Amino acid sequence: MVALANIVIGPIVIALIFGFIVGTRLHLSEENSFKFTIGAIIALIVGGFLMAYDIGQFATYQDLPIATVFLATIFGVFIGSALLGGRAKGDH
Amino acid sequence: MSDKITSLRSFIMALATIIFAASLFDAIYGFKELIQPGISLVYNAIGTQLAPNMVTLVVFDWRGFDTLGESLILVTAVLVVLLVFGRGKILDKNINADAAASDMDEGDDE
Amino acid sequence: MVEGKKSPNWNKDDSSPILKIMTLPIAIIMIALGIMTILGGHITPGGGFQGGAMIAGAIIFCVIVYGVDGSPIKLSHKFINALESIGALAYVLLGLAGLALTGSFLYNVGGNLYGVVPQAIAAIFSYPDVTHAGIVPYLNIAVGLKVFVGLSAVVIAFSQFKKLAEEE
Repeated sequence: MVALANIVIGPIVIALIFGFIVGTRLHLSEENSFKFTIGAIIALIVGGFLMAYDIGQFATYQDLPIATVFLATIFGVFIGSALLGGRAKGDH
Repeated sequence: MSDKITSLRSFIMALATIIFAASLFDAIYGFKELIQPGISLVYNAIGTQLAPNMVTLVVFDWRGFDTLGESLILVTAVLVVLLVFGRGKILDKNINADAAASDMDEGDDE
Repeated sequence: MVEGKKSPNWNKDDSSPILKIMTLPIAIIMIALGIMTILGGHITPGGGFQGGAMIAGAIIFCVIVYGVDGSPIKLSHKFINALESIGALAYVLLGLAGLALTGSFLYNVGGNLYGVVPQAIAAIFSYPDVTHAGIVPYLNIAVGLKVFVGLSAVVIAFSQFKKLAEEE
């Protein structure tokens, strides 16, 4: 168990990796869909914070009062989409 | 003639049903004494030392081999759907598309 | 996004602008909830199958609203192939680890209830968490990957058959 100041890191890292895997297939600037500008990403992250606060201490019930796994997944999806999402070849 | 055969079939069917029903009721009659919940009680006692969610523990820890087969059923279902409904066309098309895409830009990601 | 008084173009391949604007953020939230369900599978209700079905629901949502070609979440054939194989192989290899170390298939090497495995080896397989769940979360993740990819593959394939029938 790796803990840093009462925050359990292991599920957060795995959530980042999992979100990265799904996010590598996400095209944020597709023609006919929602255009994700910087403002939209920030708005979604703020909404994610609100949702995480409402979910509560999800993963382990004894660290921060927000669902850290949920937030880490959203960040992982955006990181994966920003790094690889626009360039994924061989679409279905 | 055909009436005779039909009646004979009906008789055989009734006999088989009676035998099956008798054996089933005989099995059900003493069933309560046959059940021994021993290992279940033991696992219910010690299982929560691993994690709080007992359902997931039973599914993934105690009966993990069962879950392996259960999740392979999904693979088989997807495979059969693609085989029967697609008849291999989707597969061929996508392999060609992947090959064409990887031929176009080599040295890129992936 | 909808400018002026231009009425939306209601052909059958195109969906409403309301759906087009709302679907992708909702799909991202659904993906996050699904992954959260998978990773909390050993503590809270839910698990690998349920979380994978939630992620597949997000992808099916995008495929239905935007169509197969315009969907922002595109799963390629290689990706589906790789994740399905990784999920199945991870499950079987975790089982074989128990078989090699203790002699019984799918023994919970990280949890180590009976104390058969040495502590150093058990520390490798244990999930970094406050619980001692061992390999149960890893099995959850493997099943989640398999279910997410499998259910999505069925729907993507079904939405492509119509296109194939029109080509012929």
